[in-house]
This record gives sequence, C-alpha cells and structure tokens, in this order.
Amino acid sequence: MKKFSANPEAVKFWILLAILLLSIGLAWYLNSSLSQSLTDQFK
Amino acid sequence: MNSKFLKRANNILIVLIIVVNGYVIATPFYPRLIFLVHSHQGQAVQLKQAVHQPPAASAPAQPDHLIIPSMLLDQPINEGTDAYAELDKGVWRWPGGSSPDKAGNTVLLGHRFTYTTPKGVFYFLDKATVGSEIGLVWNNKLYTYKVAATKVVPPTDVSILAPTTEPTLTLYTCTPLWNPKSRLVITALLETTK
Repeated sequence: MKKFSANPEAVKFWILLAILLLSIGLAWYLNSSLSQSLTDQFK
Repeated sequence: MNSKFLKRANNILIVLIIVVNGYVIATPFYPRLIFLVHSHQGQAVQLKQAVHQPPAASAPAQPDHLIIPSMLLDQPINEGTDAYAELDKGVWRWPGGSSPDKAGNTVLLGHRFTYTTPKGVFYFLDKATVGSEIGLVWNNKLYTYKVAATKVVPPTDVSILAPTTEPTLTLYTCTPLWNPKSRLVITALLETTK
C-alpha cells in the first residue's frame, strides 16, 4: 500500500489500463452477442 | 517506471478510452445519419423507380440485389452456407428456402445492427410497413413484391421458414434494436415479374 501511494501516477496507470481493457471487452461482447443471436438458428 | 513516462502513458490511455467508448456509443447512430443524408439526396424517389424498372436487356447483367425504397435500401444478396460469414457481408439468402424464380418462400436475412461493417443492413426494416413495395433483381429479372404482413416472433418460431404455395418473400431480422430477444418478420407477396 505504501509502495502504491508513493507513486500516484502508477496507480492511475493501472486503473486506466483496466478501464481500457474492460471497454474493449464490452465492445467485443456487445458485437458478438448482436451478430451471434441471428446466426444461431440458421447454422 | 519514472513519473514522466507514466504521465505520458496515462494521457495515451485516456485518449484510447475516449476513442473506444465513443465508438461504442456513437456507432449505433451511424445508420441514422446515413439515412438522413440519403433521404435529403432524394434516394427514395430513385429507389421507387428502380422497383418498377426492370434491368435493360442490353445492359450488362446486374448482381442479384434487394431494393426497399421505404428504408432506402439497395443491397446485393449474398449466397452461401456459412450464415455467420454471409451475414457479415450484408443480406443473405437462406439456402434452405426458395429463390424468386422458383416461387415458394424466399427467405432473406440481415443483421439489425452490428459494430462491424455493414453495421446492420436491416436497421430500418421496421419502416417496411404493410403495402410497402420491395424489388428483387434476380438473374437479371425484376420481381416486385408488396408487404402483406409484419410480425414479431420469438427466436424459436421457425414457422416463417416453411414453404409457401404463393410466391413469397420473407425478410427476417432481430428486434428490438438494442436487445435482440425477438425477431421481426416481414412477409411480402409477389405482384409483378418483369
């Protein structure tokens, strides 16, 4: 905890990286669920 | 990692987060923007004419395509057995159904909306109401249909795929736009062949 608080920019970096990865994951999930839903019945 | 490098990396991450989320939020409005631009360009009038104008005999063969003036749609029809790949290209004719020249039930499918191109060819399928005209150019012949019924069915309802005695065109997509839990089905009956 002491190590993190010593460098607030590092904490910010990991939080922002996590938000970015979550955003990409959400976009991928949204797109695949939208396109998958129609194709399921016609395979 | 030194503080200067981290500050720069954080700025880049903030920009990337804005770009990714901006794309996710703004892209669903892209088809509406295109629709607005095309309707101002008078595309509906051109498409209404195209629904009644058969391909000229002397003209080079046109690819098979679907024309729906009410939703400003003029898209090629894709053929194949891989539903996922064909729907990613646009309108797909279900190979288990018929084709316009053989009468029966021709079933065409398209995504309502996807983030990848072509971003949902049937985004505005709900604009095709009873009485709307639909043109289908197939093997250089024009088949004109009129919408006879529109309905929303559960995804498990496959009765719309059943063969028909009358020459029928069935258009099929997801509904509602944001939560594809049901299917929108447009049934159109053949009016003329030119």
